Amino acid sequence: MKKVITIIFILIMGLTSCLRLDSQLFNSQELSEYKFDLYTGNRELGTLPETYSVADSMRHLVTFISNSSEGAAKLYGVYLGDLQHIATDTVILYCHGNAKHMDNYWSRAKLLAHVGGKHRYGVLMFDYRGYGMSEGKSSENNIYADVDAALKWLQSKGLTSSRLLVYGYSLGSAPSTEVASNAYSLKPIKLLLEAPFASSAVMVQDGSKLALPGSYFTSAKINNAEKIKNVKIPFMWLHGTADSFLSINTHGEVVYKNYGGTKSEALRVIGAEHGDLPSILGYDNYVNAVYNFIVK
Amino acid sequence: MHVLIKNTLIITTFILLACNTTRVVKPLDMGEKQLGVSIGGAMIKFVGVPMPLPLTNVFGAYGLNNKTTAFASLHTTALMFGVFQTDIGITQHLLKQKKYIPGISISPIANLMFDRWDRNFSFYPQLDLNAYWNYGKKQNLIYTTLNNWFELRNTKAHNETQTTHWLPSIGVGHQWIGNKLSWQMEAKYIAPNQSNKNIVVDYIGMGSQGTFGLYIGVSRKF
Repeated sequence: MKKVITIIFILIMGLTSCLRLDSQLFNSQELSEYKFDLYTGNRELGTLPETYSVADSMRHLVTFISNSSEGAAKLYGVYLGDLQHIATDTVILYCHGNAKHMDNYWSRAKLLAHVGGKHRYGVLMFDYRGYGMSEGKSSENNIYADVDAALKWLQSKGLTSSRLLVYGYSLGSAPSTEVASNAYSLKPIKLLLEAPFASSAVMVQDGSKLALPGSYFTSAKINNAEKIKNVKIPFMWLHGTADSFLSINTHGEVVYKNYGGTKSEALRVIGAEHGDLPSILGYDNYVNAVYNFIVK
Repeated sequence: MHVLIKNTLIITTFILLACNTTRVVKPLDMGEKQLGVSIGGAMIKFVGVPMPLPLTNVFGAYGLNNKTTAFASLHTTALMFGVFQTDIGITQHLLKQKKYIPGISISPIANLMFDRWDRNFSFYPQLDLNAYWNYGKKQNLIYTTLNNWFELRNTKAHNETQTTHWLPSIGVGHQWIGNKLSWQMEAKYIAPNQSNKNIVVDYIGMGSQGTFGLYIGVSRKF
């Protein structure tokens, strides 16, 4: 009888359980062409003042290949700055959030291109697999492979670890924390996280109010709160106090508290929601805050 | 921007809590059997439209004697996500209905969950207190219920302190007794002691507290 029950249980679990949330964590949108300033859809931060413009000559659409256990995929990125100076410049690698594609985050990349003055630092933003024109399918493992592909591209242009900064926003906090905490092609000298996830388990527990295992819903861990314990490089954390998507208390504060290094800086922006921190803080203030952390 | 991720997470996060009609409000007669299904869940905004989560489950009940009924269930939506979830319990008659004074029953329940992915096991004790009135020729049932879920864990992810240990729900419901099938409708107010703000889910509650829940069920006695 016991065997029969066990077999029935295994059959039920095996045959019926096919739904997972993993793919739904990646809210991507395919594109046939990037529009950047000409993009007419809704985007984060909207249109920036003219002072934050980036000349077409300083905007370079680039491609590179990402290899993971799920195969190879051609990724698209955009480099803001002079490609010839990557071998000597300091570069900010920007890992965007989970929505749409690079056009959605174009204004954010342009802001970073003005940290310390126009094109003081090069900025590389790229689309993960399945986003924009990038091929393939998004997954947690793939975004780690994808960020490494971006690092390899920068490395091939002459960038060294000593001139690399990584900035992760929202979902982008996952690949950013990953490369800052583990061995990848390049290791950044500073890490900046804006509105980071603590983990998928925290999302589940926030929603249910119970201490439920995240595995009940998703195989993706996005375990920044644990990985950040291994991060020793200087770390800046930015989070809006009114973030209704990733709570500052249950996500951001936990990541900040678990940071394993000694040089950290927190910027809690009163009244800022998940996606509007730079505008609530003021673009100039935001750019200056990032710059002050970089040069400190 | 984050609509999709929200909408998919909300479908699942309340799979485990307050996801069904009250199983047995009034104990069955001795030897009587009941099989049923129910659907419903917490009220959320799905692409801006208010709706209850369509969480499904099947259950069976058996009258151990005229005052005690045992029941068990299988949560079929949770199962589709690889989570075996069941609630096993009894409903014990406490007070008999006297005209307008309701009958009273109590249901201690064990909610058990186990996922196939990381093999995490969870146990949530639950205690329901029910008051009911039979009325009319068909002995339809109107009832109110206080469900209490208890979180026994003291820590949650990343060793943070689990501060919530009691999640109550207050419900009112009605059972229409047919010749073969009985239909049940129930409305709940889930976790009124909990804030519903600054979390990934857009719950519909009163102000910033808790969420409403709506459920229907059908069952047959044998």
